[in-house]
Amino acid sequence: MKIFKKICAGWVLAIAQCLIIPAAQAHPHIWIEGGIELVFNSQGNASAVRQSWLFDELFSTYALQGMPRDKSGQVPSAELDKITGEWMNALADPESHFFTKITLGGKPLAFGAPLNARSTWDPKSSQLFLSFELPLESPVKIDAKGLEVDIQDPSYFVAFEYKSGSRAFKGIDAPAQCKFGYMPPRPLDPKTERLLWSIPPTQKELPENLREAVRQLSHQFTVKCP
Amino acid sequence: MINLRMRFLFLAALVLVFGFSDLALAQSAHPFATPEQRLSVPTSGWFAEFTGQMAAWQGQFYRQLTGAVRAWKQDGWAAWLLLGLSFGYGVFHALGPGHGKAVLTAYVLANKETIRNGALLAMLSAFLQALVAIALVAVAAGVLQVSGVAMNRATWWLELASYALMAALGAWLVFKHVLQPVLSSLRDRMPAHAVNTQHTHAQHSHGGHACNHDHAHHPHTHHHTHHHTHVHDENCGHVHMPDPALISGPMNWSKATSAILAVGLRPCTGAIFVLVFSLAQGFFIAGIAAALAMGLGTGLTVAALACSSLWMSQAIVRSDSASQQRWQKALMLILQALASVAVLALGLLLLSAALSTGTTSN
Repeated sequence: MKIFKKICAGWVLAIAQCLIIPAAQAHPHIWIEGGIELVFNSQGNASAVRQSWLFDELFSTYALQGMPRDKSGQVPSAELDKITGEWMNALADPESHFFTKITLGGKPLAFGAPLNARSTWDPKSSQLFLSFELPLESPVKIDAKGLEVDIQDPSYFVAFEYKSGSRAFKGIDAPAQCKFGYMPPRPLDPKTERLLWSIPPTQKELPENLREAVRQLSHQFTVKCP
Repeated sequence: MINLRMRFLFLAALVLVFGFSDLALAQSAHPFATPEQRLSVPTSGWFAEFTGQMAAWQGQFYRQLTGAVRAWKQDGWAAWLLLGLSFGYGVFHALGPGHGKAVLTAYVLANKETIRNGALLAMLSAFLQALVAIALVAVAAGVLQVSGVAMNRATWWLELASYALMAALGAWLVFKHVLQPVLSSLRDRMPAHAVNTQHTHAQHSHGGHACNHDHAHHPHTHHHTHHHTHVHDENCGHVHMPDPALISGPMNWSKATSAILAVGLRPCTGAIFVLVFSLAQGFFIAGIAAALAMGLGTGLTVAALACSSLWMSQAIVRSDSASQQRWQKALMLILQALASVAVLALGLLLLSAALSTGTTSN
């Protein structure tokens, strides 16, 4: 009986640990394979961020559930336009805001309503593809400090992937001296992690040094034009 | 021994706290409408942000499901791949944040269900969850061919019913394990009832004083009297049961049904997605098999959790000396009361969250 109790206690501890770690985790239900481009105007200033999102098969199929199809399995473009419009409206809400943050030299940049939003559906792969452009409120000159685009769903409902690695980020009509970089999300070092845990959930704003640190949990795209 | 029990108590409290850590979460609608509302952490950032590494791992896993459905379509033996992946997804799903696990664990704790009944409740509610998902997709997507938006709506109604039941169940538990014991202990203090005070151990969960007479004849069994049964007032048959009674005992089905419904009515989003996908592939049977395998994985995991919390609570009460018994019993009652309040609080919280997102997200 004693041995049984010990086994039980050990097992309970293991379960408790399993509970503690994922307790904070939301389940992702949507996977997006992303692509991103920075558009420059004729003066060599950055003017818009162009994004392409390829959705996973499960979500794509669910999103198109019950929609009319033609013989080849294609969904009429009017239906696709409707769903695109709904998404663009929903994504504009301040909390998610296209899962995109743009900063210039560390200062946030505002962007306007999305342009050229379009969805296509590939019946063969069962995947939806969405592309849209976020125009910067006013075009900006990028210097050595650089512009950064951070992509992430803070609620982890959507998991982003940028498979082509450092080639995922491209410039369109970019000045020759501009350098493009990409850093995938990376785990925090244990010390930062402990610091984060020590902040009470009631505290809405992170201290400056931690805010800098948690940025590495997003997909970070940087452009520097020295 | 006391130390061991203290540790058990601590662990029980720990499980309770983490089971209910979703209490702090508020629901809001996610831009991409799915049957699941987004659970956003209060800090809307850092707290969730660094758990993202696990998301990548889970992504690999979950996304193999579509490939497995296709593989099965080609080759019957590949069914095992889908079943295995779905089972694993179910286990993972149950270990992640979720109110089903929390409510079930709290319910069996508050009710002092037996080990066997706790496991049975967990399995049944998980299977009900799978069956609801299968029925929902078969009718809504298969027969009626409604849109995803309409299915979100249907899921929302199921969710509402589930949370309302949860709140009702919580209210009943609170009445039974918080209000009634307080009232009866007040009554016991009155002079007219003074003769009964030696039997205060019988005050709760068994419908009160009808049991006291039994106990008077079997003083040596007192420390076993609270663990195991939910038979009605007319039958205090728990008195003579030795330890095995902690493991198996009769189930009160009318109560159990409401708990199973409260947890099982709301289908799991992952199951709905796989079912809709397999339907679109013209291979619905794969979706059904996957949903059931997910249910098995979830059920076994929640059963393990519920049983471990029962084991812990029972370990607290098991004792050799009379003086220890008293405070351990008191601890047990406090744990029961807390678990009851937790079910009620979680039910009300989820209900209000579902009501607030219902109008905007659907």
